[in-house]
Amino acid sequence: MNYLILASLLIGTLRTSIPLIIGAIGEIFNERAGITNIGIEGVMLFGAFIAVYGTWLAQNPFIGLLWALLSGIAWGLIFGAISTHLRGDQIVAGIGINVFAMGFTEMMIPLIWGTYGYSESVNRLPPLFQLYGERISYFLPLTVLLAVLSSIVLYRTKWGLRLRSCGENPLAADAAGISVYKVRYLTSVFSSILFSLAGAYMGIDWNDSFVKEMTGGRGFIALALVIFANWKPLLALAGGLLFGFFDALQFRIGAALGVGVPPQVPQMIPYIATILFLLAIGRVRGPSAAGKPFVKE
Amino acid sequence: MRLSQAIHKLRYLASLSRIAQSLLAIVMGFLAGGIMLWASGYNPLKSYEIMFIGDPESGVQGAFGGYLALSNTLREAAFLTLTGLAVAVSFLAGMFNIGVEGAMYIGAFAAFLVGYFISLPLNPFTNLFHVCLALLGSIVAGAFWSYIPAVMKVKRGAHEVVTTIMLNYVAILTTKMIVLRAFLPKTGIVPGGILTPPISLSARVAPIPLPSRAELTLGFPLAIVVTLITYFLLKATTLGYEIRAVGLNPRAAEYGGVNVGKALIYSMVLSGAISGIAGACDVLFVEYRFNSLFSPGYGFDGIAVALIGRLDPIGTALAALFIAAIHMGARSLQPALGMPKELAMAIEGLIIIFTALPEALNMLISKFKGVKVRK
Amino acid sequence: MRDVIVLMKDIHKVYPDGVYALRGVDFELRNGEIHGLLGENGAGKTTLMRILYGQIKPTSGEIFIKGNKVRFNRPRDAIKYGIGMVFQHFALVHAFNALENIALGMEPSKGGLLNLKEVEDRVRELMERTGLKVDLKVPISRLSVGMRQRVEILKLLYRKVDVLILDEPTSVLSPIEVKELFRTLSKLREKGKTIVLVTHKLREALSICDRITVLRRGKKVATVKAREVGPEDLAKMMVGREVLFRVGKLKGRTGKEVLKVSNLWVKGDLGTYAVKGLSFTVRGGEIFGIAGVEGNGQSELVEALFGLRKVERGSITFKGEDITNLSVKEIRDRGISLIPEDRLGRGLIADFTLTENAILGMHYKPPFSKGFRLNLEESKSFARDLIRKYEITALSEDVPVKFLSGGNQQRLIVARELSRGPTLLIAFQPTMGLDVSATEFVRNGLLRMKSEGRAVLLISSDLEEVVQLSDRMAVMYEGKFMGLGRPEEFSTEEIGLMMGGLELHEVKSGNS
Repeated sequence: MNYLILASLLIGTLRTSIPLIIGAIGEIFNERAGITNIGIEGVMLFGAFIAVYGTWLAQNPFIGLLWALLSGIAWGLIFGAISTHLRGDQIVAGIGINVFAMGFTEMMIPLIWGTYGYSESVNRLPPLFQLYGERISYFLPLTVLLAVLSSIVLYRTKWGLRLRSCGENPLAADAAGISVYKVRYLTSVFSSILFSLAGAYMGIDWNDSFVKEMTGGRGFIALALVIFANWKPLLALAGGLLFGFFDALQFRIGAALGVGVPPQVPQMIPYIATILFLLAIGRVRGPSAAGKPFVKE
Repeated sequence: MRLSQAIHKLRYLASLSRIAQSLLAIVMGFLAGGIMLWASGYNPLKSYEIMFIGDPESGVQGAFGGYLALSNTLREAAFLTLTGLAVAVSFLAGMFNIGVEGAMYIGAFAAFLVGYFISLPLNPFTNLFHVCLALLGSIVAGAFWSYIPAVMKVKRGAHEVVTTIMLNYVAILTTKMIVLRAFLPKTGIVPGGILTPPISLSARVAPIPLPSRAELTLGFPLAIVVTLITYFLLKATTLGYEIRAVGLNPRAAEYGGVNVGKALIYSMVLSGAISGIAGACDVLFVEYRFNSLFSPGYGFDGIAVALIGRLDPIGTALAALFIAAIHMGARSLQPALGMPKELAMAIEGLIIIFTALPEALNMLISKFKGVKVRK
Repeated sequence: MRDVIVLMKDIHKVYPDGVYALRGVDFELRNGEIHGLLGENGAGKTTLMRILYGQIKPTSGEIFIKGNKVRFNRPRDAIKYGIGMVFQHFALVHAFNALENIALGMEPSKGGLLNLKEVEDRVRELMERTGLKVDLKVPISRLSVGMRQRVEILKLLYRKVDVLILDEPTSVLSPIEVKELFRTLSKLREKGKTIVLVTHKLREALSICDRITVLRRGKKVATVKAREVGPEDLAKMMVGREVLFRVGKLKGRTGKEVLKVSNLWVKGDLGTYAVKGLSFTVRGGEIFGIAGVEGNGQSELVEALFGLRKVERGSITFKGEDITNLSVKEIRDRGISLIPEDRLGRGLIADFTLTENAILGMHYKPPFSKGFRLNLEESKSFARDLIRKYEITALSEDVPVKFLSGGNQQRLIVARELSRGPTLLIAFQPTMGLDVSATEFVRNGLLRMKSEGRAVLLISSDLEEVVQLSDRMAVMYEGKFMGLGRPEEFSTEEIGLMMGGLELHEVKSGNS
């Protein structure tokens, strides 16, 4: 029986870590290119909603996935514009995206499904395989692959070099003939696609419906994970598993500890763990130009 | 003399353009909201009319459509003014504090504890004393709660956006847990949340009656008082000076002998104290009990309010009134048209996004005026 | 005409804010020459070269490269035509090493992956040919300024540039590094490269250039052959009148020891020691100057003295009291003032009004504060006083200081710090980037402090300023003093050698 709890905890860890890792890697790309998007949560939530909606309409989860992809591209373009041509305040805009996504998705649920707070059930994406009766998602190997490829792209290719130069010293990048705005637009689109797909995963792979605020702060935990990972994709993979473990723990620890523990205690674990991680890491320095608009004369 | 006239005119125009920016952000938010309404099959103009004035067919009052609706709007505005001020005070110091929601829960819970466990014989004097005591409790508790992420930031460099959001979850879960544990047999459950038993009579303040069954809760006058105090604190005290200096240029503030860490902590403590008062307003003036989910997100609305108010206390109070009207208006859309009230939040999010784009708004303004705006 | 490589004709440039930077300038560059572009601050030298480099567009005018008319929209276009520029503020990514910086934007790939080996091979060959040796594998943040400049030049050579534009390349270099740079430039000329040297230093221009073009207020004064003119001619062309700016040195009575620094060790941002065991004293009624190339620990020294940075070892004594590692407030309250290096970064809050800035650092003391209240009226009248007494040009005391000119911003800082009547004034790069009248104003302020018997510590990379104003001076290099004494004791050459890292006794024995 303990075996089963352990196995389910491990599988749960893998499952919960996926959106954290994908979100963190997206934001690593962002900040490495000089963008700070704290709207991860919002774009994720939006992705979850649109994936469920698309799946519901077409009765096909792959269509839902495609919708989430398109939504990611749209958000990426919007935030790309905010962080470049519009010279916006990126933190404030990120907050706005979160508030908008929360309100909009909750507003749309009754308009579409006539229910409040949750959608109808939809078809999920097919699992890779089943293990002990638990689904193992395609997203799992893809997430690992993403981390490895991201690391290679960032450190071993000219695109990575250019991207990082935009986040460290956009003036130097510009002087070297690199279009800082182009790099930032592309990065923003790529990262927002990742956020959106992470949301889609939550909507139509991990779960089979959209529930209001279903991302539950994971976009912000991903933000903490970026700092924890020191802006490195492979460390985000490792750290994501650790964060995912605490996230998974909240669903299992009640069972493990028995009836005496109020459910709120395990629910708090991922949040408190995140704070403790931040405290343990202390002051860190990310890419020098992250979040700062680049003004070209 | 001509020069000084010119500069006064310039400054007038500059402040005008700041107001214009806010107004334009609002307009843009409504335009985008209108598109959402239109796409959902509603007539945007009609919808906005229902929001603010009302719908004669179904008899629904809009935000300003009658005494009852107005009293609701003012009650909402009280919460939003307070949370908006709480956000503004911390944002001014450069702390992106998203934790007003959590501090408000902690403050409300403290007010409840003081209101519940103390019971005084009822007369105007003890009433006043007890309410003040409960308010004090909420101030201390809220201040303490916001002190935590401030210290984490100053001592360990922990990113306040992340810590304050995490602490929101912790605050809401903790208060809920305590309510369930400590008051279980006596709790009530409503769709909105779990309710504690009511507080003592001596800790309650009844609303002031208005015509046609409308009432004005004490929250609104209290919010005005807090607005004025905050205004004074920021503009006319050394603490306010230091908070603003740190927010605008921490290196210069440090050089000017300001202890930057301390100023950050003070701003957060002040923010937490105001958040606490916001929470107490619900317990002492509205519900007379602690509701584990009493806030529909006032703490987050406060961000929109503060930003639209350009972090100025008076501007924040005005913005709060406006956002409250959107909220109440959206609530009347639901019965009238079946449009969910979360429309308000979506519009709010859009307005925040637009306030983040002063340069873009300036460009728009200058196009309207045909005047070149300085960079 | 056949060897004219660049021809710029009737170039005009008006900036969006209405400033006229260039009013019809012609500029001709011949193949294989070193061409000096000379002028005062604001004469339009840099603007002209940025137009040639494609970084900004001219309002009107034409550019010909080897006889072909061109239009550059971005630097990349200029580089394609073989024109490259090194800016005063280097465009390097500090987190990258030299190799990555050189490769950036022109990276060879192999199998989709970055091929830095190929870059290294080519750069090593370039280093061999030109003598520009650099450590290619350490992050730029750990290279000296001179080394960074070499990386910038290598970057251009790697891009096969024929015309190198160097914008004030010597302003950040020690005299020895300048010599090395000039040797390199001569070598590059031998290899057929064409070089534009943008500078305001007459002697430098004369020592290396073949021809010199002088600009004044956006107009070309003349293009002359360097060997046919003297410094006086050039000075006259540059300024438009005969001036030599000098502040008289007053003989003051030197008073008691005010500041005593002994064996001071301070760390820089990178965690390594930036100040390494400094000891010196400053007395009342004297100006003690510290010369040296920027970035040799001056910032860290100043910050440590003012409580802005932790002292690791050693002590700072002020009027006999140990003030090591006290807070800024405590240090201010004891009577120390600081004119910081970075005007809008440290000295002022750009969005605060003149009034609010005028009381910065005194805002917590009477008469500006009563208990926890600010006395706004008092603050305003104080700000008005400063505006009047120190001739600050501002429309009102309620204007945010970001609307003031640089010179007036500096006047405000100086006014504020002097008005406190400090026992010790620390002035860090007090005249950097200022025009002549503002410079004179600041220097006179320092001299007045001295004549009132106060102690002044002047830290400046402007060697002339230190020599002219100081009663005693030291030369700082990599966190240490290379020599200390009265300015008259050193020749300019000796100071130059010390700025380049030779200690005084080495310098003296080398000379004898």
